[in-house]
Amino acid sequence: MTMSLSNIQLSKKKCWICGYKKIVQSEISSLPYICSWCSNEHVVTLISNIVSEAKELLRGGELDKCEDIDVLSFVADLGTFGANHSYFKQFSRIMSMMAVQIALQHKYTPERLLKVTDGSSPQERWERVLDCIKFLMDVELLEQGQGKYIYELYKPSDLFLTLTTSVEIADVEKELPPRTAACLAGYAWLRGIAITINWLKEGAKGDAKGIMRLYAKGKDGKLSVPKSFTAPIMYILGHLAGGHNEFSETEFRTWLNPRGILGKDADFLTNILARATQLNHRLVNFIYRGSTLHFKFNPLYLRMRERYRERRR
Amino acid sequence: MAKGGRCIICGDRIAIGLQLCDWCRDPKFEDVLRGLIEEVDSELKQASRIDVKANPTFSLIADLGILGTRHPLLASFSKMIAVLITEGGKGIREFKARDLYYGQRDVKPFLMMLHDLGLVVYDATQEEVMIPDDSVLLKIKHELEADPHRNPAAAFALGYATLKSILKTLELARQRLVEYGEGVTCLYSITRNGSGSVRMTMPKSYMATLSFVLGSWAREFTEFSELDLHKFMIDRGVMGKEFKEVLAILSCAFATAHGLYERASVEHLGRIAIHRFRLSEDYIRLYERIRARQRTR
Repeated sequence: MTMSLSNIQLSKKKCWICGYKKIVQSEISSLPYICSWCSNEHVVTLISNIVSEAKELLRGGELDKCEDIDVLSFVADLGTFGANHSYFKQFSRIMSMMAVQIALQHKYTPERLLKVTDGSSPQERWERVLDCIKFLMDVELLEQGQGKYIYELYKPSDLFLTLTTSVEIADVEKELPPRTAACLAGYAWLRGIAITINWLKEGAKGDAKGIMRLYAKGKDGKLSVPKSFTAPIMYILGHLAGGHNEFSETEFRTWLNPRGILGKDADFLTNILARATQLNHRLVNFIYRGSTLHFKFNPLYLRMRERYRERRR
Repeated sequence: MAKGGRCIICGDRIAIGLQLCDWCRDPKFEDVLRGLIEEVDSELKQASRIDVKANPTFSLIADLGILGTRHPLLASFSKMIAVLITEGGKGIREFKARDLYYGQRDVKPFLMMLHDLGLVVYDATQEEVMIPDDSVLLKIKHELEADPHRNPAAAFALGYATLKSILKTLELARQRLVEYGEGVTCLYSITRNGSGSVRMTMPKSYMATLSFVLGSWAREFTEFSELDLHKFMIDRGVMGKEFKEVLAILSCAFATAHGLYERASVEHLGRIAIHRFRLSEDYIRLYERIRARQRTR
C-alpha cells in the first residue's frame, strides 16, 4: 500500500493535504493520496482564483495593503494559521527574513536564514532551509540562476523582487510586520497546496511538490502531515467553496474527527476560530449558541467568493 | 404546574424553579416573535384573505404551522381547524363542542386558546363554538377558494395560534408561574395516573423544532446542519425515529412541503453525509424588516 518516492513513503490510505484517514477500500482505490474534500473541483477552483488574484496584486506592489484588500487579507488570515503552527512557523520566519534581506540587500544569506530556523543540529536546520528554498522554487518566488552562491543559484523571481518593493516602502529594517509576513507566507502556502493537490491527483509521481516539501520528516523518512495547520485551512476553503456562509462548532469538530484531530487539539483549533487565542484573524465571526459556537464567514470573503462565482458564470 | 424540570416551550431540561430554558428565555427570541406577531396582526387587518404564496409573513407562519400538522398529539386539533374552516366557508358558523372531538383528546383547552386569539367564540357553559365574522379562519377559507391546489393556508391557523400562545407564555413566565390552560400549554395534554400525580405531555418534536427554527432566526443564523439540530433535539429528548421525522419534515420529504429553507441539501462532512439547511431569502429579508422596525420604535 505504500510507495517509495525518493526518500519519502506515501500511504494511499490517507489524504496528504488534510490528514483524512480512509477506511473504505473504494475511497483508497478511486482517490489515492488525497480525499474527496481536498480534491473537490470547487476547492481547487477557489484556490486557483485566490492565488491568481493575489499574485496580480503582489506583482502590483500591494503587499502593504494586505489589511484593506479582501483577497490579500484572506491570504494573510490563512497564513496566520501556519505562522502559529509549531513546525510551520519557522518557514514563515524564513520567508519573512528572506523578503527583508532581498528588500534591503537584493540578496539573502544562509547565515541569517539559519538563525530563524528550528532544528537540533546545524545540519537539520540547513536541510530545512533547503526545503524552504525548493518550496519557494515550486511556488515561483525563487527561480534557477547561475553562480557559486546559493542566492545566485536560487535567485529571487521577478514576483519576489516586485513584492519586496512594498517592503522597502514600509521602511523595515529587521523583520516584516506580522500581518505582511502572514500574507506573504499565506500566498506561498496556498500556492503550494494547489501544486500539491495537482501532484497528488496525478498519482504522486516523482519528487514531492508544493507544500509537501515542507512537511516534517521522521528519522525513518516518513512524512507527517501538519494537520493542525492544513486541516482547518482546507475546511474553511472547502466550506467556502461549497457555497456555505455559516458553520457550527459541531460540524467543524465532526469534520476534524476522521482527520485524527480530537479532544484538546480540536479545542485548540476551535478556540483559534473563536479568537479565544492570541491569533488574530478575520476569517469568521462567532456567536455563542447555547452549548456550542456558531461561525459566520467574514462578509468581505463571502463577497470575494461571489465575485469568483460570478466571473465563472 | 410547570414548576421545573422541563422548559414549557421546547422541553429542554432545566433547573427546578425555572420555567424556560436559556434558548427560549433569550430576549432576542421574544423580541423577534413579538415583531413577527405584530407584523402578522397588522397585515391581517388589511388582508381579506391569507395569501400564503405571495405574502412572506403569512407564508412563514404557515410554514411553521406545517411543522405541527403531522404530529399525532395535534392531529385532533388539525382536524378541528379543518372542519371549522370548511364548514365556516359553507356558512355554518355555530357548532357544538362535542361535534369537534376527534379521538380521546380533550379539545376544550385548545378551544379556549382559539377563543383568546379571536379565531372562534367559545361558550364553555353551553359547550358551543361560534365563528365570528372577522375570524381569521374565514380569511383562510377565502384563500383556499381562490387557490385550492396544495395551498398551505390551513396550516396558517395552527402556526398563528401556536406562535401567539408562545408569546403569551413568554410574557406570563416573566411575571409568574404559568398554569395549565394558559398560553402554549393549551396544546399539551394532561393525564392523572393511579397514584394521583399529574403528567403533562407536550408535542416536543413540534415545539422543539419550532423553538429551534425561531431561535435560530432570532439569532440571525441562516444556515444550520443536521448535527446542530440533533444536538438541540437530543437535549430535549427528541431522538431516534422522532428525530428522523423532524428531519424529514424540515427537508420536505413529505407531501406537506414548506418553503422555510431555500436549500436543503445532503453534504459529505468527513465520513458522514448530513443534511444542511439554508433559510429562505424571503425570511431573511423579513427578519431584517422586523428588526429595523423594532429599532426605529
